[in-house]
Amino acid sequence: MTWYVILAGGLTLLLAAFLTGLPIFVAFLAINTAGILIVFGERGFGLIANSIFDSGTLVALSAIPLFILMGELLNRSGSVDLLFTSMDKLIGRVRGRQYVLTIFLSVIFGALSGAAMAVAAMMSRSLYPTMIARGYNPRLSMGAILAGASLAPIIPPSVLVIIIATLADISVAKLLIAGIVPGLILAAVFLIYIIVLVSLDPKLAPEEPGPRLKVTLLEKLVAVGQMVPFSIIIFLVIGLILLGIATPTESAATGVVGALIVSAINRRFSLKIAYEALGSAAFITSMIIVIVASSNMFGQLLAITGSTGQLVGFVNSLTADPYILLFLMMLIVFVLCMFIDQIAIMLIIVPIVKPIVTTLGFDPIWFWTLILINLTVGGITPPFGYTMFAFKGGAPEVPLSDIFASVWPFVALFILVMGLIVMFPALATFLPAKL
Amino acid sequence: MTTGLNARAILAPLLRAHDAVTTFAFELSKLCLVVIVFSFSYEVVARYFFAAPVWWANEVVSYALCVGVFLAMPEVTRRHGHVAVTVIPELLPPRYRNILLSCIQFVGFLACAAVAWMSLNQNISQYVREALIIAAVRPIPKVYISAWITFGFLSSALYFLRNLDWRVPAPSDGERDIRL
Repeated sequence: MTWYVILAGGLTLLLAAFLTGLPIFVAFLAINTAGILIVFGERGFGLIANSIFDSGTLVALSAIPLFILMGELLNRSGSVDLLFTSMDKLIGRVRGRQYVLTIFLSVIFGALSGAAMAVAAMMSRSLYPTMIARGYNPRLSMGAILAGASLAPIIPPSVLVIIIATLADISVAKLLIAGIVPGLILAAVFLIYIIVLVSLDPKLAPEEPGPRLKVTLLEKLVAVGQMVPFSIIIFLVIGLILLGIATPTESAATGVVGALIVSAINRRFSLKIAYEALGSAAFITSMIIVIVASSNMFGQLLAITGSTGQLVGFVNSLTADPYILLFLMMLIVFVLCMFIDQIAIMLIIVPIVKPIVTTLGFDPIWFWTLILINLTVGGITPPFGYTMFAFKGGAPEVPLSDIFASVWPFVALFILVMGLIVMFPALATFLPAKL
Repeated sequence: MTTGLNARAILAPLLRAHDAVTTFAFELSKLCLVVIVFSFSYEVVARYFFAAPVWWANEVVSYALCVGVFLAMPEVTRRHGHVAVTVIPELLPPRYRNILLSCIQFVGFLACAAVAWMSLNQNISQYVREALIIAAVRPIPKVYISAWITFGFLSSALYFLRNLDWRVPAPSDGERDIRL
């Protein structure tokens, strides 16, 4: 059987299985088992069991439960609410201040949580109703919240980065750190876009009632004081990696300890909260790692049948310009993310694209940062995007069609920043090079 | 009818036992998470404050991760928590959605049972060969860790089976003309 039949057949079957509603891990297991039966017969079954064992015992993946646990502790202890009220007091009297607050909070939440869904769900319940009550434009409000929430997987810590780096076999620390500058640039671009839009059409952000915004200097100092403990967590996660003191997995564990300390400082810690956070983290971790473990064999099968190697040769013969291939790869990921879950796409794409990246001579950190941003956008591209669904969960009265319409301008801004990173690779590679 | 009731009466305690094992396993998976946090935090403190790195942190974390993930897996299956793209099933009328969901549960059962069987064969082979985890500083028998993979998939297979519902609701008037 020729390589392209195997590759196209495998991918089509897998995507079809996803669309039927099969759990993603079951779809991978079914296709992998069928593939192994065809290639090796029954004697190949041991390979499936071994690939699950290898993925399940991968130390790098232990950062996933730790990052989730850190976010859960901060969320359940109400520490995040404190951050919200403190930041609210610090932002001055600017037109469209709720939009500005959304973006600033997103950056901070991004540095404390690795999951866009969690941030979107939280802001849809807290910020969005306030924005609507104050007469802010619903579409721009939703767009700002969804775009802001999407910064979480880009700014470290990030669960997506752990999975990408593990699958692509590159430094987790470097890929984590690579997200800092693009994440901040995205936040700045969102802010500029919103400010320009509001200045062109002031109806998008009405004048807020004065007395609510009168905050004394003392109150502002207290707000700053309340935010200081959160810098402990940011230091324990990002700082320890940058200083070379801890590996990403170790820094994730110290981040959990930091979250416990912050909750205690804010007098919001209890054993009940810790117990609930553990349960939630264990549940989500199992959900994610079972998929990763079940999919591992898919990439190996493609390699064993020679499909990946042949694809690399074919791609090289297509065009001499690697940037055309880069555009095509990004386009495929972008389109697939509109319909399929990001983790599933990642598990299919990474083993196929990895050898192509090496052959084309791209800097792996730069390339996988672009893929990371692309996958993150996948969370807000209609019709299927987990981040949008998480928002809808927090604001059930909003029609999905309105949510869909709200995100497109911000998706365009994401693409713009990706273009900037393609033109100026140092934006993604400068910081990791210092490690 | 009587046979059905008898079967249900016999099965009920078994199903309760299965649920109890799942709940207990999920509690243990939380403990595994605590072990991971403690091991890595201890490692960082021991290495940088006391210049005394420990040999066991990576190994313990690796084992705790695998054991914890597969101990929690049946609970995820019980709560229908696995990630799936549900757009198409949600668009279907209830009658056809029910048929599709039953098929999904059945395929889930087959896939998990097949992997449990493959993993069990590996466990037996590892036990007989006294296979060790050779990458470890102090190797331990591989079956100590891999057995939990078998547990996770076997128990999940049983939940997929338990969630099966082949009873198809009668079509409503509005659905009669719809074809799959």
